[in-house]
Amino acid sequence: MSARLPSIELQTAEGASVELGTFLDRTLLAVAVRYYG
Amino acid sequence: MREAYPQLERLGARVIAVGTGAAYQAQHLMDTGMPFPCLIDPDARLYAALGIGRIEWHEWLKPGVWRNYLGALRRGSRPGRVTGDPRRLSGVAIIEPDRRVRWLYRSRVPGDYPPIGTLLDALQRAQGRVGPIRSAQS
Repeated sequence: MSARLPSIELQTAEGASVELGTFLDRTLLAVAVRYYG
Repeated sequence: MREAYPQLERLGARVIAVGTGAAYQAQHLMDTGMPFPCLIDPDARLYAALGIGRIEWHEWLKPGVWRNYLGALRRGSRPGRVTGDPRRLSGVAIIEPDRRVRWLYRSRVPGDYPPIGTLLDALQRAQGRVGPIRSAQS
């Protein structure tokens, strides 16, 4: 597994845009989930 | 994941949850104690980049789908309304600061997540604390 991810824009719960790289100051565990409720 | 968060932090990892669902659901998770950011990926761009797919309608009939659902109920989970893409599968990725994906788990059915022990082991290997990283399930 060696692919590099491109720039990916996500959104915060408040609606702000945030780039994935914001969280890459250290190793990142990204959990892709289904939100319920 | 919530329960394992202190262990993940001790290993130096940052954790985020990403879903295609509604912002209010992500906010509710954080308001009720989820200790890491819960973000929205409305266009499933991260999912696409990681190759996390969608379940076909006929695959809802697989025993594993209902086994996971019943397991979640037994653990006290009471799944409510699904927002976003109801067919979207889940997954877990370990991503290095250089954007390299070091480890990836793609679910085959909804509710399929790797055991916490597997995650901690993969994280330790990704950080070079133990032997070389093993290939991930996908």
